[in-house]
Amino acid sequence: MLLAASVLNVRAHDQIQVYTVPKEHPGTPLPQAALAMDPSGIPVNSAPIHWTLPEGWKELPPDGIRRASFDVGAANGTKANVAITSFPGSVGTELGNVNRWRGELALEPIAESEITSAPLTVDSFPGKLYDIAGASARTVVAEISCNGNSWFIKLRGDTAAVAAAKPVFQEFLKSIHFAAPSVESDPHSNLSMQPAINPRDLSSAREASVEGPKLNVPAQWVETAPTSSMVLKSFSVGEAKAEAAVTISVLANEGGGALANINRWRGQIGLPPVTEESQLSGLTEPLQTLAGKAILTDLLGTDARTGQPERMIAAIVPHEGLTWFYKMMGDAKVVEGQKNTFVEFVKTVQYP
Amino acid sequence: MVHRFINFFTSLRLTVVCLGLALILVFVGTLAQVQIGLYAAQSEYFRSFFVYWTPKGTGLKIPFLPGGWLIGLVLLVNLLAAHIKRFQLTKKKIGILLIHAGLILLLGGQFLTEIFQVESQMVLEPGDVKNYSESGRKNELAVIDTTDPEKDKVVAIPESLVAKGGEIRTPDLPFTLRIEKYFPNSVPAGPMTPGEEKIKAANGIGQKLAFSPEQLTRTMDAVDLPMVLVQAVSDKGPVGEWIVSDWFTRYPAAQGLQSDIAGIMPDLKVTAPQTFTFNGRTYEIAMRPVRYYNPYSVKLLAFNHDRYPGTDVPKNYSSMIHLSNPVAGDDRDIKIYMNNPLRYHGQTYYQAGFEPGDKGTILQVVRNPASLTPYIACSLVALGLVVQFLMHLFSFARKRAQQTSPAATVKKTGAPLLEPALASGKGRSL
Repeated sequence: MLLAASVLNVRAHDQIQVYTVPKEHPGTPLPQAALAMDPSGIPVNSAPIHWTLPEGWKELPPDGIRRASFDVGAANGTKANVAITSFPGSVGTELGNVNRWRGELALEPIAESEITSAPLTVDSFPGKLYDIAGASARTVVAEISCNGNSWFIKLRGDTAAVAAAKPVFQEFLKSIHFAAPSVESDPHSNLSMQPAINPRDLSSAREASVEGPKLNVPAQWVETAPTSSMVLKSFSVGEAKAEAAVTISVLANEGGGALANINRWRGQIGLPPVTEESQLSGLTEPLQTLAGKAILTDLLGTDARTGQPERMIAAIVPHEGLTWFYKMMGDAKVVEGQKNTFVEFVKTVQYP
Repeated sequence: MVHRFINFFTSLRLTVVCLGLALILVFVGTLAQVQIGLYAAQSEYFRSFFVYWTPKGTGLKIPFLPGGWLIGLVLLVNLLAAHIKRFQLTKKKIGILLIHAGLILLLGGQFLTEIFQVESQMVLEPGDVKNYSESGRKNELAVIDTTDPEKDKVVAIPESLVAKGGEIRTPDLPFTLRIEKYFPNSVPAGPMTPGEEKIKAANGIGQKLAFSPEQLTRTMDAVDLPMVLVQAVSDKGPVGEWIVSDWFTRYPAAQGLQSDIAGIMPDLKVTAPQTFTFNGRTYEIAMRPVRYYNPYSVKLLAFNHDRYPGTDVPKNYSSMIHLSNPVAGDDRDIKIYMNNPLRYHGQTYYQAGFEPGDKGTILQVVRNPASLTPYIACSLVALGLVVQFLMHLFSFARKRAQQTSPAATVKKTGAPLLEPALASGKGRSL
């Protein structure tokens, strides 16, 4: 009987299952009050942000990804509300965020150089305050980086209501603190417990979550769509028959090391690999960049498809736990003509 | 013939052979962990009826050793058969009977647990509501028809079928799924990642993010994250091609990957569902942990991680949840904390872990229909031991009372208690 049961059980796991389930609704954060106290009266510390609610503001029911939201109690039929959201790490770029907020106000996107913001400190954490006015609506956003999280506290509504609420909003920002409160709870016996472990050690790669560097792109380079994942930017220079491609990518730590990468590049243009680190000194030259010391390699090989000479100039720039790779590869003449431009470009990249 | 058969299953030799084979199995299985990892070794050597050997370059599966289940089953049969053969329903043997019944129940219960126990986990952040838990290791390729605004129709294909490759046809889907590539374990691949094979797809996340195969994991605290390159094909031609992977769905790998690529590809949301439309219906496609749905929902109200004041030494972990079961009329708040699980609807919810930064809780959900058997078995053994002991005690006391004459007892005078024979003078001849 046991045997039969086990065989049937194993069989059941190998079959396609078809079922109907109610639609999944994304979880909604609870109001601050619910998080602060459980029904047994024991304070709990799930909320990593605390504030003092200004007079006249009303906490709204939970909504989507918002940690909390408030009706600021505007007068004369106007409306404005405040929303608090947070995300792990850095979320997109500053330009992307600003243009998204502008889009909400039906404003055209702007260039990075046109962004205006005021420095801000909330509970000793640095941040920026953006104030964007549309035709009839206005958005004031405080962005704060705290303990690896990005917090967005956004006041948005009719222009008049936002103007009236902004001083109170700024006072509200001052009342915010991110420290978790001390907790006293029932002394249950406990066992040691570990935080969840990522199945892969992504800690090194996690450092790659950074904003892109500021580039001084030469005028003759044309930006192209990256052909590979994890290529940050790519450019094309020259003409269709004689062109070179410039790519920028970044990896955590040493990104596999100079030897492995240079050998890979050598392989791409039909050159044999070098086996010793000591041989690298003859293949590379030092390069001083804004990030510090880097190395440059200049390789001449053959394009496997056309049999024509192919040249590659690549720079490896270590910076704050990351390694940036700049590579120009293509027609030997084009690369020769662009070498100084490329080197100058690499030297002047400003890192975040 | 029958006699020989009975003799075989009731013999002590069979017990010894089984125990010997168990020793060999434990030795070989322990060595195998080095090559195939702890989890795979457990599955292949101990949670199986046979251990198979596959000669290199062939697809043959040749059994070369009985697996843990078979040895346990034969031992159980051996014990039962021997017991039945020598069974004597006498008053004197009642304690022994109880002890053996307890042992049989313990073995049988453990066997049922091995087969029917389902362990899964539920990861919740405050405010999250879930009516399902997810397997810690098993995966499924899910194609979900999300057209209906109220409910989803899920076609869940187990990973074992996906691993066979080829085409998967089911009357529940209007298209065929063609498994173009399957990596039992995979890793997102960047341009600098070493390795020859990098897989990309024509649609969805796989257009931007490539994957490479990865060696299977070797430890219990790591899980394999499979990747499948799957194409949907209808009779009118290809519908689309996607990379689906546990890298997009399994906690915490998906969250880690999303965080890692946020700076490199800010627009790529790997945790967002990959959708497509076909014949006017909308579908989602995903490789995900196997889901176990419940007829009730659990909402996390708060997760509490206390530390001793002034230190980082953990003091207590607890999850305040709200359980809602409209059918049974249950609607209440419950606190789950260490050593105080919630037992509900045949499942047990243990406080098992928490998300880094105390952002949420991880509950271990165990469904074990045989969970009571160890308690009953141990009670039976204990009862049997007590009965046996008391029977011996009473028997001894009775004999003692019969043999002791009042004259021999000089307790009242303080003189030592004498053997009856000596006290009665019968021993003088000695």
